[in-house]
Amino acid sequence: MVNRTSRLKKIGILVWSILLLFILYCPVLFLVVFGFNASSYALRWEGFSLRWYEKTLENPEMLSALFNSIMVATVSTCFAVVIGFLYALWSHRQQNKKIAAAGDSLMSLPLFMPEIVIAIGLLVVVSQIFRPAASNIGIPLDSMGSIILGHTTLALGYAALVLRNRFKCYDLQQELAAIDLGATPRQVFFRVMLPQLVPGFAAASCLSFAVSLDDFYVSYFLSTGGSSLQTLPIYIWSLQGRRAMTPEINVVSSLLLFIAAFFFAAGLLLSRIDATGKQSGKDHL
Amino acid sequence: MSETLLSLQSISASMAGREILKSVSMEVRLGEFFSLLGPSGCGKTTLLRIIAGFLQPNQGKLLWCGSDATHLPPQRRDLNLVFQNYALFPHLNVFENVAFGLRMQKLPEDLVVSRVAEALSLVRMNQHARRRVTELSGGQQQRVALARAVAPRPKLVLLDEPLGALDLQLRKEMQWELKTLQRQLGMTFLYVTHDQEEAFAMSDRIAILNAGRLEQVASPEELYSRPASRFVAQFIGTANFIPAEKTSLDHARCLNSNHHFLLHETNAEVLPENYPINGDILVRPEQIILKKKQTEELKSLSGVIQMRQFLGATVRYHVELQGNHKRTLTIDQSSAGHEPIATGEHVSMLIINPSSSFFSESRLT
Repeated sequence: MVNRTSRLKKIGILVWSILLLFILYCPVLFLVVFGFNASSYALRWEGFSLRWYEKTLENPEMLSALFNSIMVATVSTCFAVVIGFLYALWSHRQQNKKIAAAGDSLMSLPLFMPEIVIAIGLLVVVSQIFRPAASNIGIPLDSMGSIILGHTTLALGYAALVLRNRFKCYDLQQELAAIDLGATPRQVFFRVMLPQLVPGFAAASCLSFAVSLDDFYVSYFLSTGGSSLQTLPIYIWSLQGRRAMTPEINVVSSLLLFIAAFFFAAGLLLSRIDATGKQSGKDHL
Repeated sequence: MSETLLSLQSISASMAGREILKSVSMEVRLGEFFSLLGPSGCGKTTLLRIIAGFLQPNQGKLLWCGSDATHLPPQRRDLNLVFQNYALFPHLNVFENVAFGLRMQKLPEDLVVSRVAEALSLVRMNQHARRRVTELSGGQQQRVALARAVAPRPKLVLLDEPLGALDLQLRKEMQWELKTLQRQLGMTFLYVTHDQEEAFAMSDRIAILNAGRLEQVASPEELYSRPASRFVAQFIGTANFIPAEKTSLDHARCLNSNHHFLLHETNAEVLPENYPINGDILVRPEQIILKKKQTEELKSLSGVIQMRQFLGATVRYHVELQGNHKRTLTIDQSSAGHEPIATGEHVSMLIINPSSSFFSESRLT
């Protein structure tokens, strides 16, 4: 009897799990499947075909949006990681733990703010302050620059938190040991600190990159000023506005999904690697 | 007397308005195993950091081989530290950890390899050169930290409670190893600890630090038999203070009996006309012979057994001193050929030390 009930229980859990996973992943699943659609309509299935993939990958408008997205993500990732690193360094060295904790809260707060609010705020500050200020010193801040600026602020919170966590397993006493053994501050930085932070840098970069790729609101609001710029999510948005929605929208969305998911996964995995390069059991994120 | 390597001259330090070191002066001789011993919070770690160059004293000078090194940066001091928590580099393997100091000196690679091999074989870790330091046990990490400190062949190795994190058995082994290693290398070791036994087991000389003040610098034997203060007497081993009065420069008389003591002539702080002065005589637990009381003996102290503990080699008694000045004394009797005395029995005590230390009441602790 006991065996039977426990087996029933196991089957029940299995069914429930599958159902749960299906609910979680069905939008993504359908999206990917409908990218391989032979039909001319995005929402009607007429058999398997690679036709829309071919068409999409040859579409210059899509390719330029993809290029813009990668460009923006790369540059804003660099900015976010460098600024995030400087923050983490400051926070780790801060003697007063209360100040450090307050800093950490302030850094992570924007992660929970409605993105549309941040986007509108950015629009105001960019059009009222940054753009006039930049043109005053002779640098025109175009929409690419504005979006990079916006994405940097979006990704900064992630980069700072990941690096901050990485620092938590970095013992400052090692630096005294290195100095004691004759290392200059420069050598301490490059030979002791940086090598131990490499997984953190990689994780922070991947997450920042994914955040930037994903973003729609900030890009949408900031792309309008001056010359308009299309990132991949904006291009997808523009596809649904057209009269007949073709499976191309599924294909482009799938592509965005693959790239972003790859970087998110890589970021999460990398953030778990400990200083010696081993996978640690604890999740540091 | 051998050459002086390091000389501290009236070093004072304070942090956040609190005085941590109060005019500490001492000398460390070349080639000796020197310990800095004191209870936690006595300022020994601060002193260590000043010697290493991580902290600057507020006052005083630090002489290195006779020349002023007070403001020399830590990189340029010919000494290496072994940290309490080892502070090994987790991203480097055992070999690279030990090689770190040598690489900073920009030694040629073949010399680095041979020096690292030498240092690792000294601590019997040469088989583990390619291991990650995070895979090592506490004792092994300790050995790597030691090898890392001695590999660049510094004149002085500073050890900051390096055995604190190890269990008792391993700690005893490592004490022996450290002492042997120091002899082999002929290097000067400055060892910081709060553990009196550890300091005694290894040191040639010990400095006792209490509340930022240096109490005494002497060999273990001298610290034990001629402590300079009540604090040292109590901190080193077990101390019995028996009420006495000092009658002249080198004589004291026990107040509870007719005992007379010959004193070390070190504590001559009172002018002759002020005698007698009240105070205490220091008697160590093994310097008293216990006997069951039979008749009233004038020369001996009398007391009542309160507790008996069998400790193996010795039997320890806690005895309440009878007379005007009641105290509880700790007395050790060798367990060989000793006939146990029961709790509650009256005993007479014979003090067998030929000379003693006297501490006047005005200098309580």
